[in-house]
Amino acid sequence: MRMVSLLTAFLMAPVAQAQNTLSVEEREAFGAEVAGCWNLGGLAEGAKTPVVTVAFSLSRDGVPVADSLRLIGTGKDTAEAVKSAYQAARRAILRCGAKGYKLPLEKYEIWRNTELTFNPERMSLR
Amino acid sequence: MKSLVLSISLALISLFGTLTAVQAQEPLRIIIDEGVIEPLPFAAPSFQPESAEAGQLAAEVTRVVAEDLIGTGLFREISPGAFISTVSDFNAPVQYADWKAINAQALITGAVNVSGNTLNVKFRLYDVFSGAELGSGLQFAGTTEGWRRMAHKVADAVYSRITGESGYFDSRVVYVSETGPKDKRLKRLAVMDYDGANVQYLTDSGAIVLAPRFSPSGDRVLYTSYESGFPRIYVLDIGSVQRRVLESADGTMSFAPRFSPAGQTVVFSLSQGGNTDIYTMDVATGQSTRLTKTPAIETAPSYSPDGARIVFESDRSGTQQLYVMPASGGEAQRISFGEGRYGTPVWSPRGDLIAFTKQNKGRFHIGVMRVDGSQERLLTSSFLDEGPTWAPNGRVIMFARETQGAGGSSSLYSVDITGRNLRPVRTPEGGSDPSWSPLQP
Amino acid sequence: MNRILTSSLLIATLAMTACTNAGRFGSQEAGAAGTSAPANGGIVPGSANDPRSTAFFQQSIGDRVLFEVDQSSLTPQGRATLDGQSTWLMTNVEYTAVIEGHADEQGTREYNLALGARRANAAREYLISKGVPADRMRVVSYGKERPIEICSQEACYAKNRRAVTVLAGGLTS
Repeated sequence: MRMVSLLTAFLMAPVAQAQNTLSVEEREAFGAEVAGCWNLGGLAEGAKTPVVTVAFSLSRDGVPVADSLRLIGTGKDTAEAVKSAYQAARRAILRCGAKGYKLPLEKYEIWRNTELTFNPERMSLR
Repeated sequence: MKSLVLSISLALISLFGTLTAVQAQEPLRIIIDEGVIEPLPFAAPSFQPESAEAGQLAAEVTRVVAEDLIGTGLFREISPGAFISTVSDFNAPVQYADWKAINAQALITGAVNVSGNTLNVKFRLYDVFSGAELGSGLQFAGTTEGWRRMAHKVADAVYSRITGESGYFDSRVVYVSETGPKDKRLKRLAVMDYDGANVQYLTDSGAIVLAPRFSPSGDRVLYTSYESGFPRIYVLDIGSVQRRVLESADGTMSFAPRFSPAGQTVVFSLSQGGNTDIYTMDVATGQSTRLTKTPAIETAPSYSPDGARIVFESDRSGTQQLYVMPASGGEAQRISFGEGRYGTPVWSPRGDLIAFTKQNKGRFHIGVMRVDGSQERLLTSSFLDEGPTWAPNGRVIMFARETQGAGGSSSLYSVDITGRNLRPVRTPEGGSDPSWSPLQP
Repeated sequence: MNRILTSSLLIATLAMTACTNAGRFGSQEAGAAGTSAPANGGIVPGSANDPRSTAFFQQSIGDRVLFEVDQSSLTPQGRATLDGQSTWLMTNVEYTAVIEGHADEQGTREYNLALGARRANAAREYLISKGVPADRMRVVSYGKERPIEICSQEACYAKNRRAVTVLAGGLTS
């Protein structure tokens, strides 16, 4: 289970300092929590679902602020497919975050505003 | 590959952001590239009867909506026994917490009103974890007799709002109903709802009938019958059950017909002097045009949805393979290159894929490939699977499976284009040669 | 068209066989089934020992030729059978024939229809080459719709890959 691209983590590493970024483990744990609720099963396209990026804010207890969720980045896919992909991503963020994500409180300023990109392409290898 | 590129670019953005942004904290950016694939759990409390006569129908409509959704393999119904809330008023606010607690991700509520012969069905769909309605409420009106269609329309709307694809439940299938052993098989045309309900027979079993195909508007059917003693193509009006033969020259056999997307032309195979080629015929004038001119067997033609091209099978290379040519004839491009033999190609209504029957090493498969022949994917495998037809949304395929040996029989199955959710389609007798209609108006 | 349908019904009655119309697809022995040898040892018109009868054609000349898997070219044995058929047809000029092409179940429906047409045509062309007038013979393909053997093994498939010469006309024409 490699939830977060290791490459991203590697490139981030040189500038990672204790207080201005999450550790690789913290990022992976956060990603894994969301991934567990990201269900592509309800999508007719399955793994061909478009890539979407969702931006949102979290409260200090790690709960996503429901009305802060918004779609920010999409490709050239059809509006309907993007809408469904966004809804699946939205459900994942809200459902798994209902009781608060396990994030380090002392780094709240880092994860207070988060952008998650949902890319299902690796799922198609199954 | 793409995901790697994306990762790098996002990483660079983050890096750049971290180095330069002094004051404003950049958002945390993470890529989620692994999720789960499991049916989406939904709750469908029995729709509210809004009139005294509606009680029974309300329950039945709810059941058909749920069965349509479950049948896709994309949804899972949460047993009403687990419900914490009841829905006693269609317009009352939804208690999201109660539905969250039982992990219902979608909630479908509805109301049914019967007034004389008129049936009204309303529904609302809620995204439980977002705490919001998904789309707005809709209402369908019809007759009490057509109650299953109202249910299918609700299910189509739910399916479409959640998956982002158009639905396929309010559709019909014409097929060959079969009885008797392989050497004395009786065949007659039948039409039914996509789920096997409301079967109606269109011919008797006095003559062999084969491969019925819907017209683009779903009101007529082309098929092949031996009623003259020789295979000939007939066109039958489903409403009146009147049929007429498409004229063909004496000493020829014609079969494998399909309508063009505009419905004015029929493409078919004509066999003469042992050679089978592809022809088109103008339905109104009866004028025919020959499209292929090789000594090989050319058959099973199917139009692209834009009507510009035709995919067909030919053994001009020595074995059955798939080819694409312009709708007016001319040079054909071979698209199948895998091991084995390929037949009965059918162009997807979305235009992106071609479904086919593949024969390899003594097994039969239903498969799909892109229209250029790439990305071949086999969806089924059995002693004898053949004759795929597309659901109107291009996501599901129905086909016939014949079982082996003296006691073998044929029945209909469906499977989705990922190869998941293989399931039998219930018919009163055996079935073969299914053809799926467009969504009903 | 009508003529042929009518005639095949006539064969069934006049030949006094156990054939039903569907029985045309049945085994070669059908012609003799249920008929016992006549008491006086004479020739019963239409029976298998009447050399001008359909039953005789089916049993003594051989009404069918078999094909290899996916092939429509005649085997040496097939050609020998057709030699006998051509001689008989040229003697019994009152008969017309429909040559039925068939395939085994290992193939798609449409392809097998076309393959059956090739097989029937191969038999017809051969008979024409031996002098049988072309206008006495028509072809029809049943593809895999009418197997005579229904096991899913080569022993059955071999008998189903066939071209059968079905006579029409005869005594009454």
